[in-house]
This record gives sequence, structure tokens and C-alpha cells, in this order.
Amino acid sequence: MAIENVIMMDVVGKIEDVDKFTKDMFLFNDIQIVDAMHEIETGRFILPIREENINELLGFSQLVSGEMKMGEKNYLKLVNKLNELYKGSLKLDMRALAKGETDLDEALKKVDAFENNIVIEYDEMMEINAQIEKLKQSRVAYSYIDEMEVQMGELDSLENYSYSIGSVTKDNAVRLKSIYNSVTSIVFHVGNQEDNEEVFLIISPRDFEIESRRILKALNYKLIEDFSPEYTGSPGEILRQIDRKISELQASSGELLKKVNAQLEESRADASDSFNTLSLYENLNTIKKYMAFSNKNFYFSGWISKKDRQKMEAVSEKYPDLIMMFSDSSSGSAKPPTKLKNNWLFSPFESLVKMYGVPSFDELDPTPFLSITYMFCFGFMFGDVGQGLILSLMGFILGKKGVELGKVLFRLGLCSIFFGFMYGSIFGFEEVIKPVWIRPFDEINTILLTAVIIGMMMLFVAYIYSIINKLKKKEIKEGVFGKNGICGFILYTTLLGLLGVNTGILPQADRLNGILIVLAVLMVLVVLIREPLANYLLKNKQLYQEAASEYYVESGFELFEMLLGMLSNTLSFIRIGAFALTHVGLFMAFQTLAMMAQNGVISVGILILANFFIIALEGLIVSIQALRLQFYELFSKYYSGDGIEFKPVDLEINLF
Amino acid sequence: MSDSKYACISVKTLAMKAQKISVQDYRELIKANNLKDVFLFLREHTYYGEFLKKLDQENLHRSEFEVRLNDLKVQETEKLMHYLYGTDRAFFKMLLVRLEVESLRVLIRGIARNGDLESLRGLTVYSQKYTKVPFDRLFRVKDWEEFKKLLLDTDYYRVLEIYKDVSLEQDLVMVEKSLDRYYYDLLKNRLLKLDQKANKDLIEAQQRNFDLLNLVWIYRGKKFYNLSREELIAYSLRGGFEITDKRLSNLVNAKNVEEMKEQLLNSDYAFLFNHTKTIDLYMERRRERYLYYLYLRLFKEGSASLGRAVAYIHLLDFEIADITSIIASKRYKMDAEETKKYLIRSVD
Repeated sequence: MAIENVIMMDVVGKIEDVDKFTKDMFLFNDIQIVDAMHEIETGRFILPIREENINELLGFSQLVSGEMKMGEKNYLKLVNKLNELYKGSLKLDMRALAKGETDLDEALKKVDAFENNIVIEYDEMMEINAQIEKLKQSRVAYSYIDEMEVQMGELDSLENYSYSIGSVTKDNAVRLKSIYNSVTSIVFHVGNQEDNEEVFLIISPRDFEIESRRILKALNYKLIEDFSPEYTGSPGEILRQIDRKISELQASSGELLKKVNAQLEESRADASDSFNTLSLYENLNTIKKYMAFSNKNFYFSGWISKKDRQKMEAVSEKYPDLIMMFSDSSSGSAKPPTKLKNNWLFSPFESLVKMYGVPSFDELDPTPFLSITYMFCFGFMFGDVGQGLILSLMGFILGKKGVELGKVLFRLGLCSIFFGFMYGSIFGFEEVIKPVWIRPFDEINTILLTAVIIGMMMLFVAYIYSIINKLKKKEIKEGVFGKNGICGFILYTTLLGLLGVNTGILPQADRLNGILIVLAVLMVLVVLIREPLANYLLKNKQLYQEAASEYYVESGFELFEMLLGMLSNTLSFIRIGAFALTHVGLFMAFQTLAMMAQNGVISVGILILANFFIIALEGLIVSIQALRLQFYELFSKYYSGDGIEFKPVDLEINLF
Repeated sequence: MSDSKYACISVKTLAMKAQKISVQDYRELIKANNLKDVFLFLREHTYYGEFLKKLDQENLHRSEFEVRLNDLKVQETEKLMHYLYGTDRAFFKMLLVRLEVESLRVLIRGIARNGDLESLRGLTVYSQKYTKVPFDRLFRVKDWEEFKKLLLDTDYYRVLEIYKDVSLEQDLVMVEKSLDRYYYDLLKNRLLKLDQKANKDLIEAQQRNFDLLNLVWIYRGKKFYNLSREELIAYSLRGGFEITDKRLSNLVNAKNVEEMKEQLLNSDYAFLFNHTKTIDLYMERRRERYLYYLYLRLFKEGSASLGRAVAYIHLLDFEIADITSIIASKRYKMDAEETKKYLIRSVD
């Protein structure tokens, strides 16, 4: 089966082993960790009551969740610092971690030494940069008054007057201007700031300072504080002075940067080691948050693949006092996650399935069926050797770059090539190669009829999937008597049979006509009364969930909808044929255009454009139509997609 | 063009208005015996029901009750915003900004009292969808500096940053006035960006509100707070309708309240002052009733502009204010006649 069985693994171990064990789990990676505390609280984490388990059992009464316990230890800061220093060029190296023993204390010591070496200079550099920033702000401040012919030192030491420079919003500037004449200060408008603020220089007598301040505060006056008494010259001189200082500082900051970079390169190996170890421990801490702890033991739970059970047991043998228990999905009440496993050909299509929903663990994985039919439908609709080749090349490149849908595109392109040979079409031209099967435009009816027949076959398979899924979930009512169950299947088949007999496609089966009619009527009746019937067979006392009359009205309409649905679902597949024709037709239109142009260069241009157009636009339409058939016509029959995805341990440490 | 531009929102607004409470509902509410009856009536018989479900009828908290009524306003404002774009939408959003400012005011009061902001969560109303203020984090704030820091990315930071402290009542009043001024300046600027011709009546209504707010401010500033003329100007609003900058400064320069009243004798706003004893008590209600009729007219006539939708939200505002007054009247055990005096709309 394409859905892998997962089992729940519960572990109780000695608290001394917790680091090593967690590291094993982290490196193993293919495990979905669940909150052990939650498992225990909901009573799913069950230890066999035996004498040797007594300590572990007692531990249950004093459990603390990892979330609580892990609050303090945090290596993230150090990891972030290293990351910042090396500008993100350090990467977590899993292989190095798996090989050696990791020593947290040593890593911490190394980082300590590292800090002593580098961080002093680094901090110094940061300090200088901060100074430069501050000077730049001062430069802005003084530039508001750069035309004033006054010594700032003198202004600062005025006895009876004080001055300030600050800004107010445009609207408040209007208010300020309307009280110019009555305010107890001299107000100069000296400039504008970028963010809609106007800058004023205000000189007020010291005697009225309090009053002035009160008014200015009322106008939300924001003081510009980047003036400093150390500058005593005229604003113009001060600005030159500041510029000189800035360039001096920038020079020394540059020097330091070189030194720091040199040292960083020197100690890259050590830093890389420490980064690895600390990142590992940070990740381990994240894992530990899902564990529960008592004084002596740790408790751990997670989903693993059934086939990994032996590997896990091998791990557990390394730890003498470790209790490892497995329980399969049917025993617990928690819903197990779904782990999909498909071969090389099918696995990219999983992303299409997940678009709709992850299969439930007790459901058939629709991926193989979807893959085959999707590829087939696409190829059928978009059969062209040349265009298919381009699509598959594009898909291949995208796939290599890590785009999952690129891999899907690659496979679709290959199918397109296959059907291209069937139709004898290469870049739209039908004269170059001979068709293996037919030319779509020459035999329109064959194409359309084939499409419907293919659709019927796909529907048959969908019915079978549906019946299996429903019976697996023990839904007798829907699985046996339902419209997508055995009865629905038989009804669909008989209706098709009737159609065949009465239109003369199956003349030799004429005798069957009566039997088929009886069978169809019987099936309709069964679907109509499926609820009471199922309840009767299952010996439920209550035959109807609701009032009987309500049930029959509802069921009657459902029946109507079902019959209509069978017809429309089947006919829906005509589009496969129709698009195969469109594909040819569209190119023919361009070909006519090219001929009308009567100019070799333009004609070739039109044909090249036509190919681009068809690949981009029709390719898109066809892939959507094919997907629509899957999601609407087929998935709605058999697939619920309400599962939870299996998410293995997240490798990446969260850096922020 | 402008006709069809607002057709959709106008019809939608009309439909929304029809669902709101009627004069008959008001009579029932006024008749109700106590807070719980008011609550049950609103929950069972009016459009507010959905928003009151969360409240416990046995343990009603008056202010929380009021706030939940406002949730309806947020929802309907957001709903109407879907019909607008460009400058119209930006203007309409101001109705939500108003709530944001009010919520900040509640929180700043909380900070001033050194209170636990988390407990004020139930008293704040704002649009989760459109606010840029990180309210969820503000609720956890412990002091004023931290509070300001969280607002760094919003316009409010500029308004609040110059205040080092809010524990003194007089500082707090300044902060609140500054927030109001910020809001009305923004409103004024957005008004200027609207299509002036189509929205003439709407703009006039808003500008008249500026006039009224200025008059109330100057009157109170003179009578109760004894503020200097500079401070009166500093917190007055610009861009009024009848009260131009010139008249504003004349009013501010008036020696006392009597002189101020004289200046307004022949204006549209004489009604605020031409009463003998009850000026102060009913001033706010008179202002609101004046606006109520203004917006009622705008609602009826403003179908070809943004006017109807804006008027609708303001009317809703007044409706909520009236319900709030009725709730308060139950607490003070007023009789029906007394209660009616405090309502914005006249119920007879």
C-alpha cells in the first residue's frame, strides 16, 4: 500500500540519558514527535504495571512538561550571535553531528574564548558605528541653522534667554503661526523635515520659560536634542567639524572591520563546530519541550513508520534502563498521521493530492490512480512530440531547482510526447511523422467516444476505491447500499448495459434487457431505503435518524441527484477528447494566419509564437481541466482527504 | 458617474438602517424595569442580539455591555468598506480610527492608574482587521515607556512621545486632547481629499461638528479650566464651517463667557447658549441632537454621495449612545420622562 503504517512509540528513560537519546531521535529525523504530557493526560501513554516499572510509574504523579522545564536553557542567543558574525554562512552539518560525540561544555567554552578574542573588537566597531550615527544626526540638527552667523558657545551661555530647536506637525505649525504675535518668545521657521514636520527655532526670555514651554508642549513640540555644548563655533564651522570627525571614524571602523574579518576567518573551524553543537542543543531543547519529566525519568512519545521499529529497538539497546513501547494505530484513540510512500514515478503527484487533502490513515492512497490517470488525460489532451519535449525539459529544470510541481510537469511532458507519436504531431505539424494511432481531426467521433469510454473506466476504478474505502471505515450503509457503494456501482453498470443493449452496441445481449431493467429498479429501491435497511441488518432498533417522511423526501432528491450525476460525470469526460481536438484546431488557426501573411519571416514568427502560446496557455488550461476531472468527478466519489500529514522532526533551527 | 459610484453602498446602507431599532423599541427600552430587562430586550428583539450573546445576564457590567454594542458598529463599518476604494475608503476608515483612539484612551487611563491593562480588554473596541496598533501586546504592557515603544510604527508615537509621564491628571488631559487633535486634523485632511462637489453636504456636516467641538472646548476652557488663549488655540480644531480662523481667535479673545455668547448670538449655534439654567448640563446633548438632525438629513438626501453611509454610522453611534444613556438611567432609577431628556433623539 502506498500509505505507510505508522505506530506510536512511547519511551520512558533515565533522566541522565535524555540528551543522548534526544540526539538519537534528532538525527533519526523520520519521526513525528507528539506532546508526551498530552499523551499521558489523555491516558494513551500506558506503562505495564510491573514491579520493575515501579519508579517510572511513580514518576507519573510528579510530572512536569518539558515546556515548563526547558524555559531557562537557551542557546539561541549564542547561535544567533555566531550567525550574525558570519553573516549566515554557517550551516548545520548533520553528518559531522552524527559522527562525533558532541560536548556541550566544550562548545560553550569555545564560544567563550571566541567572544574574548573577537567580540571586543567587534563591539568596538559597533560602538564606533553608533557614534557615526549620532554624529550624522547632529549634522542634520545643525544644518537647520547653518546660515546663522552666531557662535553656538555664546548662545549656550546666554544669561537671560534660552533657545531650542524642535519640530511640530504641519497642522500644529498653522496653530503656532496664528499665535506668533502673542506668544512670549521669538519664533523662527527654519526648515522642514521629510515626515511632514516643520522645524522652528525658539528663543524665549528665561523669565517666561515655563509659560513658553507649556504652550509649546500643548502644540506637541518635539525638541531636537542632537545639539551638544561641546561645539562652540558657528553652525557652519560645526558642520565642517562634524564631517571631519565622521570621516575619521569611518576610517577606523574600516580598519577594525578588516581585523575582525581576518580573525573570523581564522577561527571559522572552531566557530563552525560550536555553531553545530549549540544548534543541535537548541534543537534538542525544542524536542524536549514535547517531553515530560519526573525527578528520575523522562517520557517521550512520537509516531514512527512501522518498518523503523527494529531500528528503534536497536537504539533502545544502547540504554540499559530504557523502556520502549509500541502501539499501533488501531489501539489508541488519537488519530495517527498519514505517511505517504510512493515510488519514483508517482511521488511528485503527492503534492496534487495534498492540495485536496491528506489521505486519512485508514484510506487508500489515491496517488497511484491519480498519477496514472492524470498523466494519461494530460497526454491525451495535449499530444505533441515537440511541445511535450519542451514541457518535460522545463519540468526537469524546475524539478532540479527543487520545485515539486516541476517534477509533475516533467512526467506530463513525457506523456505528451507519447501521445504526440500516437497522433503524429510535432510542434503542431501533422505532416512530418506518421501517426501510430489516428489523427484526431480526421476521426472526431472516435476521439470523443474513446474519451467517454476512458471516463467510464476511470469511474469504475473510482467506484472500487470508494467501496474499499467505505468498507475499511466500516460504513456499511454507504459502502454497500450507498450511491458510491456496491449498489451504486451495480446500478451504474446496469444503466450502461441498458444503454449498450438499446442502442445496438451490444446486439447479442438482447435477452438481458429484461433482467437489466429489473436489476436497475431494484438497485434504485435499495439506495432509496439504504438507511432503514442498513439499520435493520445491523440490528439497530432505531431505523431512521429523523422522521421517516423527512428521510424519504431527502433520499428521493438524493436519488435524483445521483442519477443526474452518473450522466453528467460520464459525459464530463468528453472534454478529454474535445481538448485533444482544440489542441489541433488552435494550431490550425495559427497556421492559416501564417499562410495569410505570405511572408516567410512573419509566417515563421507566427508559428513560433503559436507554439509558445499553445504551450503556455493551453498547457495551463489542459492541466487544470485534467485536475478538475480528478478533484470533482473522481475524488468526490471516493476520497475524503481528512487525514493529518506526517511531519518529521523539523531540522532547521529557528533563527530570528 | 458619481451617481452610480455610490449607488451600491447607498442601497446597502438603506437596508442596514431598516434593521436598526425603531421608536417603538426605544419606548420599550425606556419602559424596562432594570438593566437585565434592557439586556434581554436587546438580545431577543434587536439586531444587537448577536453581539450580546457572550455576556452573562446575571452578572452584567455596564461598560462592557456598552462596548459590545459598539462591536456591531465595527462590523458594519468594515462591511461597508468593501464597497469603497481610494480616498473614499481612506475617509471612511476614519470611523474606525475614532474607535482606535478611544481604545488607546482607555488603555492610557489604565496606565495612569497603574492598572492591569489586561482587565481593560473587554472595554476596548477596535477593528482587528484594519488597526495597525498592536493591541494584543499593549494589553500586556506594564509602564508608559514600554507602551509608547510598542506604538513606534504608528502615527500615535509622534503624538505621545513628548510626554514623559502620564500619572498626573493634567498631563493625562493633555495627552487625551492631543490624541483628539491628531484624529480631527487627520479627518480634516482626508475631507479635503474627497470629491468636494459630490460630498458637499457631508463635508459641511463634518465641518459643523468641528465648529461645535471648538465652541464647547472654548466655553469650558474659559469657564472651568481658566486656560490661556494660546492653549485654547493650541487645542482648537481647524477647518470649521462657520467658525473661521478669524472668528475663532475673536472667540478666544473674548474676556469672558458672556462676551463669547454675545458673539454667537446671530450664528447657527446660538442654540447652545440661549437657555437660562441648563447650559452646562445639556450642552453635549444639544450638540449631539443638532448633529443627529444634520446626519438624518444627510442620510435621506445623500444617496448620490458618500454622505449616506457616513451619516448611517454616525446615526448608529447616536443610537448606541442613547441605549447607553438608557442603561445609565436604570442605574440612577430615573423615570421615563427624566430619561428622555438625556437622549439624543427625541422620543415622544
